[in-house]
Amino acid sequence: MKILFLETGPETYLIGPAKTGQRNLGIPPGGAADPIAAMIANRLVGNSPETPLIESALLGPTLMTETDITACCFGAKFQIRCGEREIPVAQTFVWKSGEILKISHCQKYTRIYLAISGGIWEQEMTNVANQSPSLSLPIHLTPIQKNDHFFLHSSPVKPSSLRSLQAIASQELLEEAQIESPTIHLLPGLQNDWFDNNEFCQSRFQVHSASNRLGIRLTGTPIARPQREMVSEAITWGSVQITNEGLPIIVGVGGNTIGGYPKIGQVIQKDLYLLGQLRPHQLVQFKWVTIDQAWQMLELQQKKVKNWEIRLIA
Amino acid sequence: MVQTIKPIGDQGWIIYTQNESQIRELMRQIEQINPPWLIDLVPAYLSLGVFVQPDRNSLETAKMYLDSLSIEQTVEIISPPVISIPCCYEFQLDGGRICQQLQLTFEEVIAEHSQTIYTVYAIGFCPGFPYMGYLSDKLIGTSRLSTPRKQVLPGSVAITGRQTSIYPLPRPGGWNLIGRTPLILVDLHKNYFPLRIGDCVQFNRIDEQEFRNLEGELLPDWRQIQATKGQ
Repeated sequence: MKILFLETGPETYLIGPAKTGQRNLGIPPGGAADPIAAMIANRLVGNSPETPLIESALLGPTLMTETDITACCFGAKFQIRCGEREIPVAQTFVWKSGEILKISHCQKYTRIYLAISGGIWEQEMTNVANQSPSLSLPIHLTPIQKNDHFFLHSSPVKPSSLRSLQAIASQELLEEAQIESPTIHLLPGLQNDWFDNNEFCQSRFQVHSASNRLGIRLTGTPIARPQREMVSEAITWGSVQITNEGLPIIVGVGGNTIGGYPKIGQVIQKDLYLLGQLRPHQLVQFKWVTIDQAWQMLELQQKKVKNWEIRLIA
Repeated sequence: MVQTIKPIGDQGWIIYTQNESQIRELMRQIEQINPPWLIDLVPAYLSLGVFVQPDRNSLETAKMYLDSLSIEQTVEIISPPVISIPCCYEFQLDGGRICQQLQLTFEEVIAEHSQTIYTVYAIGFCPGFPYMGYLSDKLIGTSRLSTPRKQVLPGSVAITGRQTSIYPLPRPGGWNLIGRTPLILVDLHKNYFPLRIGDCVQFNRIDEQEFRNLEGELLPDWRQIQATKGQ
């Protein structure tokens, strides 16, 4: 039982759980660029939160299934058609064998997740319970191409309208990413003292279209940086680097593990999901917080997300 | 006491030391304990990134632990064997630039590059890309290309600043290409990464005929070979 990619955008990936322990080989942990939306998509079809699923940015794929399955899209607002039907985001639906699913025209936010009941797998298998959801490195690191196919382990669950309602309630977090100029909270970066931090937070930057899972480029008024070089060192998801031209590049979820640009700031963990939903040309601004504030904000968010999750499982 | 510890936001800590061997010593100590809060260690030259589980308690516990480490209590580290990597310098693409910047003939560049034993100080940029140092004095100082190449062939051997490397996978790149190895350095499908932090590497000059003979072979993993011998 397979799904086949008839068409695909440049930024469509099969996503498994983040896998740590390999950064010393230059391999980022990866995982979903918006882990909260990915978790909700999985829960909407009855999967455990880290079951492999499809992530797509701005331009979605066109796919076909060989078997009847239960599916759901969650995250950015795309136009979704399954056969002749229009499917709203967050609604579980039965995708029938031979039907074409087309995820197109992203209208709001950036990334959408397609989850299928039972998961989407690299290899055919008989016992899904024994399967590790971790992906092989080539799949982990490279986008899906036209004509690629993946395997399903169908365990159809009934589409649930109740779940869909709960999921729509949880879109509240996505709204944060959609306001005209969202605020991204920062802790000081390792070369923070190279820069004028007040100047940085008073500026607004625009998301460049050449942004992807590797990094988010920002344009705007360059900030002053000393003409110094530094020795390359560890960087991570959310590190805000300043290029020689004085413009920020934020390391993405699939970005490099070491880098030689100075870092003015580090996006707090609570705001990392938001980076995955920033749209090209959108404005962003930054705000400094203390480590205590960063933990408080994260704990509050985790509580909220846990609550949604419990309601989606119920 | 270690040198300096600074936070990587709310994700971990970075330790800076004064020399590269202290970084390896710290890594050895941390790996031996393998604390439950640890998720990743990222050594790079004079720093060691220590990433922890995403919660306040892990971050604070890690700091206390790292503060207690000492670079003084070094046990003697056994030097790893020197890994010989064949390089065909006839496949250079930036010989002209390099010679002009360094005021050397390309034969002198080859002699200097192939007689030094390099240490892998960091792996990053792309999976398995080894940052090795340091170049001999005469080879120091080439600048990166002002416009990076869109695609560098895998196996390309490159220099810039004080460093040398090998592109293990096809990638865009701005380093000066000095030659090419026929060996495969990384196999993503098999999770094969024979070069690790702390390894010692020397380039061995080969001609085009030898390059063709060796093309597509895997760089042996000396750790696996030693483990097999030990059995």
